[in-house]
Amino acid sequence: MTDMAVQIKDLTYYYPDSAAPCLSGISLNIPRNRFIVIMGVNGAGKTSLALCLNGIIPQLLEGRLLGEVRVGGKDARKTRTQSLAGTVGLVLQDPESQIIGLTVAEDTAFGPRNLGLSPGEIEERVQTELAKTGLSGYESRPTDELSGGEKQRLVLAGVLAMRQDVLVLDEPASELDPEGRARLYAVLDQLRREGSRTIIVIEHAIEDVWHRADEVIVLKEGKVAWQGEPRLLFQNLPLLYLLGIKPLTVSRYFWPFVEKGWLTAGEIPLSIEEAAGLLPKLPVREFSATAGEFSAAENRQSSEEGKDRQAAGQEGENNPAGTVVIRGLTHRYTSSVLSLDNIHLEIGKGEFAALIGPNGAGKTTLTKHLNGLLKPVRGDVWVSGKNTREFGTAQLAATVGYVFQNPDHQLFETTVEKELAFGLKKAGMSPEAVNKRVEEVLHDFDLTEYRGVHPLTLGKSVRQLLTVAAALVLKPDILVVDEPTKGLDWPGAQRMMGIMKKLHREGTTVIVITHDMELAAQAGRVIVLKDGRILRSGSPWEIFTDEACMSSAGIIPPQIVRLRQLQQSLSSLS
Amino acid sequence: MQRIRIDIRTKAILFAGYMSMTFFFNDPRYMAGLFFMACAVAFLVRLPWDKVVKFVLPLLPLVLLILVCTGLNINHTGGGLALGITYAVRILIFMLASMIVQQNTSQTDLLQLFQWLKFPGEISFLFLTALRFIPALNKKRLQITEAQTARGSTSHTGGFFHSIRSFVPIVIPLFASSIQMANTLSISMVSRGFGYGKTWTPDYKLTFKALDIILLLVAAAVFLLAVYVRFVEKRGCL
Repeated sequence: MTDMAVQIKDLTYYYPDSAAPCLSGISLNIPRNRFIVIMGVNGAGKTSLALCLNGIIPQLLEGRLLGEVRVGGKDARKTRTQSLAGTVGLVLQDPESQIIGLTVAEDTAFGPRNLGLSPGEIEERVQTELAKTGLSGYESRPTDELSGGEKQRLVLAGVLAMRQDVLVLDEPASELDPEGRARLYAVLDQLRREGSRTIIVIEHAIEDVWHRADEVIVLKEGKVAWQGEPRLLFQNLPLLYLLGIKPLTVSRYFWPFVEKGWLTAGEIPLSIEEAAGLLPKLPVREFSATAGEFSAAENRQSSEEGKDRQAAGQEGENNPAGTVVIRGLTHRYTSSVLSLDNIHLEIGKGEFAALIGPNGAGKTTLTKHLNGLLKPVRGDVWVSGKNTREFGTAQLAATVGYVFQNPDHQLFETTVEKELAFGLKKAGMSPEAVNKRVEEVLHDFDLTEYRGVHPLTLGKSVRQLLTVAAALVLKPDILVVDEPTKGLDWPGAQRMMGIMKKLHREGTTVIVITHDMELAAQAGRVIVLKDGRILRSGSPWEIFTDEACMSSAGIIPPQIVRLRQLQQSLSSLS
Repeated sequence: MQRIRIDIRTKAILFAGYMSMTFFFNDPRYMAGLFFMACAVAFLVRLPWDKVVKFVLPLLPLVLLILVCTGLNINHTGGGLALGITYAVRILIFMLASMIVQQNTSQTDLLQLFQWLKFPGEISFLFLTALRFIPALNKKRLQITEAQTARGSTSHTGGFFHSIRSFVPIVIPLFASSIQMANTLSISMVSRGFGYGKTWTPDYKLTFKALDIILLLVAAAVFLLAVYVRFVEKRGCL
């Protein structure tokens, strides 16, 4: 038996009808029982590599595959994927599409049943794996009633029930809220402690993996661009920028000290605790000054918020364009539970507001009231002075632009140009006016080169950008974006944030729903929701330093806030 | 909700027999009797009525259309309206009976039945995954409809052809999403050993218990009574 869990030699893969390889000359040796993280920008070949490991490529997804892939000593090209199921397990991003059973127990038992195991053995595996993933007691629960986090843990339980040596997880937490992410990684920690599996995780965010990974592999344009110990990569900021990976905030905060020669790159902290340990080494006054510069640069945008903001009035009808006024808003779906409970909220013209809170808090339900997709059960909502009860959603499209989480739900035309023209034509504009506005938006969003391209063939970040552009062609006063950076790599996320900040500077009211606290910290105002109520609303600093509020909403403040606290305590000392 | 603990074969026979009876009669009074029979069973198995309403509501326009169209057929003996009511009630019976079976039958039960009927495994799974994905696709449809409405798309104005055209922004993303979901599902199923062998481990052995036999005897008696009333007494027909 080989000591290597995975051996890859000169792996090159071309998708059918593609002239350029998706993976090119990859050679890797992964020892058993290691925790490996694969990173890289969207389209770098991470998912294709994962699919090669259990033979999905080239057995199910055809194409031209050259080189050798061996998992647990078995040739993944020649061994049937089904026969590899006991050797390598695969968890993909979207849990919804991976659940096969109607109940939790049925789904977990699916794999072992395929292997023809005895009923006793199947029962034992189902119970053990459900316990490991924190789903004991859920056996008879219908799978469509589970939360997103529970669904992903169920998928993991179903894969673990195959008792394989190698577990591959492709962005397993990308669809989850912070609590769901934490619980999923807690399960992986437990598996790691058991020490019987090699775990390979594809991930964009360093936060969840820097302290877990034994080794990091970075792919770029289908090739291995970097491979080694996580610290060596995560402390090397110029290299991270080059590879398109977002560094940790705490590392960025301390990087100026490396440039000034006060710290070496190897001393760059990766956590707040490490940062606190470094402080005695730094001259207090200079630290405060340098850190202050960083803080100011990070938060310049947010501090400018509201300067030219026009406050919303008490009742909505006479309010200017771009304002949102919500009075006593109550909503319930079919069940008796209130999804929104007596919400009072005002958002002024030109504000940049972030709605945060756990899944099911009512964030999306609240924003769907802004463009009339939902009508209040009680209370009223005014957007730009219009009462949403009196207008249909299509009529409000020119007032409120709404970008949903999944860009593929909005794209249907055959070219980018036609996609942008759709809303304008619906608004009854003349062909000349439509063409003029489409040209403007193509230019503003840097989409000109894609004008004749089919939207669904574009990369995820460009598709996401296109949906924002399509919502903005009508020049709405208010833009609502649900999870603007979800699933995007760092360059894509930066581009998206750049667009939103630009819109905000130009006077558009921007409202984002997000689980990304680093993003929320860049907004002018943060609104915390829980159980259909507003827990608190205020500046990012006020919100993220309110421990009771954070704890109640199950939110971990971003590193930037904890760093500023550290900086403040240091300043008071000096 | 409590599942009825009876053999899946008993459920299948009862369902088939009951459905056959709905075709014996076309007198609305007899159909009403069968409908109340289904309601009684739904009550006994504690079918969630909110789910029934959610399931039936979108199909009500179709039921009404059938009622109106058949009602206008005045040449029919006994009146078109009565026949229209019969058709409408028959559709409601189908929906209710299907829901009773669906809510009280697990995926494992259905697989056992298919295996007993010697269906090919692939066909059985095709059917079962369709069942699993109907709600998921419906959720997608709602999300896509909302996304397109937010962009200014409307489906309620501009006449028949406009309404047809307005479905394009919904159907295309739905189609693309379905393919994506099907792709992920097939990867997931194969990765979990689907197709490893020709059969799979059954959850339990199919056995008729006392309750099954009693139910089958009662069902047989009702079925024979229906045959007698319809074909010997020649009642229940317009």
